[in-house]
Parts: sequence; C-alpha cells; structure tokens
Amino acid sequence: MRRRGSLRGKMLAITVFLLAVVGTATLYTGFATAQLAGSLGLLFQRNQLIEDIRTALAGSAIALGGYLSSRSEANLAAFRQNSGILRERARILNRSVRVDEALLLQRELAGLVDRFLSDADAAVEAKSRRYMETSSERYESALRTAELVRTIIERIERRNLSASIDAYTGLDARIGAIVATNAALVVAAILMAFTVFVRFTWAITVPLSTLADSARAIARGDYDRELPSLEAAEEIATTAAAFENMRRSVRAAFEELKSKAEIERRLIEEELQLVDMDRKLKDAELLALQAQINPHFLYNTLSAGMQLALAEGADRTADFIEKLGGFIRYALRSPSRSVSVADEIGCLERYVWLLRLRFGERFTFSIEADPAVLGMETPALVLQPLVENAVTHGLHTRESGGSVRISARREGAAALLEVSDTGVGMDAKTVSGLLEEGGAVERQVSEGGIGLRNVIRRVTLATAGRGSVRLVSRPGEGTTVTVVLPSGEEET
Amino acid sequence: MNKLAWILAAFFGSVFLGATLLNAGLIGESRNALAAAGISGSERAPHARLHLLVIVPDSEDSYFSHLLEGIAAAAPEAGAAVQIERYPGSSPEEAERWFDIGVRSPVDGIVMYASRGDDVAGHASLAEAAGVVFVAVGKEAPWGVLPCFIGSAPLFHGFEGGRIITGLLAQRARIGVILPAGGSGSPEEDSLYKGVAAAVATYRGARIVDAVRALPDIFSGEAIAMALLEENPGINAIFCATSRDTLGAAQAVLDRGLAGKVAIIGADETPELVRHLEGGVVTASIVRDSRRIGVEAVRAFVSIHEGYPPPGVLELDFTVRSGSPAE
Repeated sequence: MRRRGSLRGKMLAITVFLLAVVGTATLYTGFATAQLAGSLGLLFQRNQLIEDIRTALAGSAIALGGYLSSRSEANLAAFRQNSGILRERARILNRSVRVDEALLLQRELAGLVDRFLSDADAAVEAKSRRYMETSSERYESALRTAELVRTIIERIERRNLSASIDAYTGLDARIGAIVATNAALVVAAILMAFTVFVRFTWAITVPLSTLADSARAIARGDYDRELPSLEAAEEIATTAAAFENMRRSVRAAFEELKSKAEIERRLIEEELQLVDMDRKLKDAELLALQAQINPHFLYNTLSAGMQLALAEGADRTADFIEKLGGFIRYALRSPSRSVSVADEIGCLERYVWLLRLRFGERFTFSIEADPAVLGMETPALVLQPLVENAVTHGLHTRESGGSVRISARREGAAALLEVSDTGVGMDAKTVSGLLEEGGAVERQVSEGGIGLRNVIRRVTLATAGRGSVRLVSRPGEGTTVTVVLPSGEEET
Repeated sequence: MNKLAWILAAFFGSVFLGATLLNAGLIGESRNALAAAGISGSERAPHARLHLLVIVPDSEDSYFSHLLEGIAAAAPEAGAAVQIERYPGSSPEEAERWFDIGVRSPVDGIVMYASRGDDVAGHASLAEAAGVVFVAVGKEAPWGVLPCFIGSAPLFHGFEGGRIITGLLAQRARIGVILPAGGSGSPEEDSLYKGVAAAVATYRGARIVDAVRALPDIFSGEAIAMALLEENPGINAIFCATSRDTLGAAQAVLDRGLAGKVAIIGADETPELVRHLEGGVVTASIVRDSRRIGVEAVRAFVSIHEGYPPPGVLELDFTVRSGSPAE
C-alpha cells in the first residue's frame, strides 16, 4: 500500500488545475477578443486628431482673415483659441525621421502646421504694429501653408483609407484562422483538463472500488481474499490498511473457531466410537452368555462321548474328543477375560492338535514359548484367530509344505505373541486395509473367523490402548502378525 | 490508463499551447497591420537621420521604377528615410505642391524629376533658401544653371538610336521618332531628336520622316506609332524614347502585321519589352541606367547635406540591349 498525498490535497490540486486551465483559456479568449476589438479601433485611433487639426486650421485661417481685415477682438480670440488647439494637436504628431511613410507624412504635417502658426502669428504681430505689407505677406504664406496642410491631410487620409482597406482585408482573411485557433485552444484546454480530471478521478476511485470489492467479498464470507496492493491517497490507504487488518483478525478468529470445532468433532467421534465399541462388547458378551448355555451341554456331551470312547477302547477318538472339549470350553468362556500366556499357549496347542488331525502332513505347526512370558497376562483367544487366518487365508492355496510358527517371547517389558506363516502373503494395500476400520475386517467376520480386527480391538481394549498388533507381510513370502502386550508392572 | 492519460494530457496541452501561440501570432500580426495602416504608423519603424522627399511622375515607364529602386537601395546606407510622392504626368502643379510641402515643412532633401523645360534653377534656389537640399533627376538636363542634376545624356541616346537604325538600314532608313511626353519646344530642338538626326546625317538618303512628342497617357505611344505608320507608309524604323512608347509602337507594328519589317529602337527595359526583344518585334533597346541615377541622386543629396558643393550636371551612360547578337 503506497500512500500518495492526502485525498483532500489531491482534490484541491485537481480543482485548482482545472480552474487554472479553463480560466486561462477563458481569460485568453477574452483577452484575444479585446485585442481584436482594440486593433479595429487602431484603424480610426488618430482620425480624430487629423479632424481636429483640419477644423482648428480652418477656424484659425478664418479667424485670422477676419482679424486682419477688421481687427476684431472676437476674431483674434477665435484665432488664439484655434491656434492653441492646433498647436496642442500638432504636438502629438510624429516629428522624428522614421522609415515609415505614415510617420514621415505626420512629420511633414507637423512642420507645415508649425509653419502656418509661425506665419499666422507673424501676420497678427505685423498687423498689430501696422506693418501691413509684412502682415499681408505672412498671411498669404499662412494661407498657402494651410492649403498644403489640406493637401497633406488628404494624402494621409487617402493612404489611411487604402492601407485600412488592405489591413482590414488581411484581418478578414485571418479572422477565420483566429476563430479556429481560439476554438482549438478552448477545446484543447477542455480536453486536457478532462483527461487530467479522469486520470485523478481514476486514481482516487480505483482504490475505493477495490476496497468495496474486498468488503463485498467479506460480506459473502470470503475472508481469504487479500486486499491487492494499492497506490492511494493517504485517507484511502489508511482505511484500506485498517480494513486489511480487520480482515486478518476476523480470519484468524474464524480459523481458531474452526480448529476448536474440529477438535470437538473428533472428540465426539471418538466418544461415539467408544460407545459403539462398548455396545459391540456388550453384544458380544450377550452372545457369549447365550452361547454358554449350550456349551455346557455340548461340553458334558463331549465328556460322555470321551467316556464312551475309552470304554470301547477307542483311545484316539477319546483324545480327539478330549482336545475338542477342552478347546471349546476355553473358547466359549468370556472373550473379554484375561488369561495367562501359558493358558493361551495351552489352548493353542489343543487347537493345533486338532488342525494336525485335520491337515495331517500337509502343513507343519511349531509352538515356541519363552517361559519368561508364560505368566504374563493376555486377552483370551488372541492367537487362535491369527492361526486360523494363517491356515485359512495364508496357506489355503498350498497343497503341502506350508508352515505356521507360533512364538511367545519377551522384549523389554512387553510380551510378544507372534504367528508367522509361509503362505501367499499380502501386498501393502491389503495390509493397510486390514489394519483400517471396517472393510476387510467385516469381510473376515462374514467369512466365519473372528478376524484380525477383532484381535486388534480386544488387545486395544484390554491394554487401554497401550498394546498393539503389528502386521508384516509380503506377497509370496508369508505373513507375520505380532501381538505386543505391555507387562502388568508397567500398567500399574 | 495512467500512461495513456499523461500522453493525452501532454498532447492536448501541446495543442492548447500551439493554438494559443498561433492565435497570439495572428492577433499580433493583425494588430501590427492595423496599426501600420493608421496614421500612427508602425511602432517598430526604424529611425533615420535624414528625411528625403522624392517627387516623380506616376508613370508606367520602367525608367521611374528603376529610378526609385536605385533611391530605395541607396537610402539605408545614407541613413535616409524616403518619402515618395507620385503626381499625374498631366498635373505638374501637383509636383509643385509637393515641392512646396517639402520646402515649408521642411524636409532634409528633395529629389525631383525634371523635364527639359522645368525651372530647376528656381526650385534649387527656393530649396536652398529653406535649407533643403534639392537634387533634380531626369532624362534630359533642363536649361539654365543647374546646381545638381543627375540624368542620362539624351543627345548620345538619340545618336545611338540613329546609329543602330542606319547600321541596319543604311540609306534606306525612313525613321519615325516618338519623343517623350512632358518636353517643351519643337521636336527638332529636343536633344534626342538631335542625336538621331546627327546619326542619320552620316548616311546619304537616310532620313527622319516624322517626329512626334508623346502624350502622358498610357496609349499615347501606340496611337502615335499607328498614326506614323498610316500617314507615312514608307517608315521602316521607329525610334522611341521611353519603354512605355516602345511597347505601344511594338503593339502597333504587330497590329499592322509589320513585325520584322519595321525596326523599333526602344528605350529602357521591362519584362514585356524584353519579351518583344526576344521575339524580334523590337530590334534593340537603349537602356538608361535609371537605377544608378537614383543611387547617385541619393549620394549627391547626402554629399550636399554634409556641406560639399553640388556636383552640377551628371549624365550617366547607357547600354544597348538587342534582340539578336547579329544586330
């Protein structure tokens, strides 16, 4: 934002400039018109002077003649008056030698008037002294000079008339150009003033318009629209800067509100998730409770079957029924309970015995348990679903040679329960899909297994989020699922 | 927008300034013209040292235009402001009136055209009494004692004309002579006539058939030439003393279909006369250097004004302009 003078100063400057330009044009046009009018007056400026000289000369000559013939005082007074006027008027005439015909004629006229007055005065003087002959001579000379004055005046007037006609013709020829240039200068002054006015108006209104656009944008809720850089008058620049600060403040406040809303939304979502988990857990518990009714019957029936097999000497069948009954009794108890790793391994051994019976030599199973972890607690039934997944999804395409390795070991304070298979493995996308909520997990459930997600959820619930499940798999190289259980000491 | 606005503003500003200056120039020009037209004259007219009044006939004769050119050319150097007054050739009293104005006002000097019979000595005397320098100019020196006359030598002028004619026609020459207007006395007493006669006398058989003095009007030369040719069918050469009469004679010869048959010996040099010379209508023209007469008149005026004695009679030479080198 560049500040360029005050708005008031700018508007004042524009007004002064416009007034100056238009005023100059108007004044000049008026001045030019006055000059032209004055020029026309010059044509006739000194005609009055010539007329005065002619009249005074005639009056002097008549009065002189009258006085010389009658010695009338009235004529003498008239002569004095006229000769005074003549002398006064003649004083105005040019007397210097100039290279100009009109001025030379004036000079001659002045000389002749002087000569007339000299002769006339001498005639009067001679008359008063009664020198009649001298008086008569000077009177005749004065009359001759008066005649010559008239000749020269006629000559001057002829010249004036001719020159005036020429000058007026010239003026008439130029008047069109004078009017045209007058019009041109007025139009040019107006256009110049208009251009400068538009330029300054633009300079003032463009920042205001930009500011208005930004205000409209904010009114629409668009707080991200920044005010463009403006070159504006001080007042507008100040307003724009304040506006921009306001926009930024409002935007920051909105951002903060938005952030808080997001956090709240997440909290609510998490809460809902917990509620949903709790609900699911309760459903599972209900299902389990419901299932506990029949399992007792099933277990008692299987015990009766085992007694029957022993009675008939079918030891292998009796073992099968015993292992199946033991696994069912373990599996049908509450899945949310905690058991020792040893119990979980024992259950898994029974399950593996049953699988070996089912698959014979097709797959190999191995179980390794570090005694250090056997006493540690684990959610019940976390390994069985993993082994079932390994067989069902990892090794199902193999006709033979597949293996499943189950291990329980300690790593630091945590117990690591691990199920590895040499099955088909999975790509990264499938792995991430399995670890995500829904999707593949639901698919696993629908396929009859408890599923990986179930294991993850139970481990998370049982360890209050401190435990975790890791899944490492590569296509064609098998899958390893590791359940990380924190130690009870750590929990406390 | 910004740049365009400034460019437009600069353009209109330039137009405004240009129109204002042009307008001011036009108004100033009009004012000066109008001011100069009035009796107040031009305020910018330069000052001069001397006021010289020139009184000449209002004639179409190139002799006078060249004379005035010479005066105008010499005046600035002499520091003189020249006032020219022309009078009708038929009204010599007007010349006298202007002379009287010059003497009574008085001016510093008067250059006045004088014919053979004019009282130049009397004018000189009156002017001297008034302290005014008087210089007479003319084609032929007037009679009497002349303190200052500058002109051409009419006797030699006439002799040269006669010599050209007899050179062309020898003893066959039958000559009509048109003498300049304004002279007095019989034609035979005119110096021009005498010069022609002297040249003709050298060829036995050659002769001047008629001699007539022209009138001041512009068609006088043509009318006289026509009359000469009608009344004297044997005329085969016409001698004219002025350019105006030469043109009149040329027109008469053309009208009568005698171009090339009647030789015309003219005087002075005007563009139209030169055209007739080049066309062969006029055989030759004796050009008096009236421009130089004008220059010398101004010089004489200044010299006398500065106290030097008057130069007396100064007759300047002439040149012959012919239509073809052979002539």
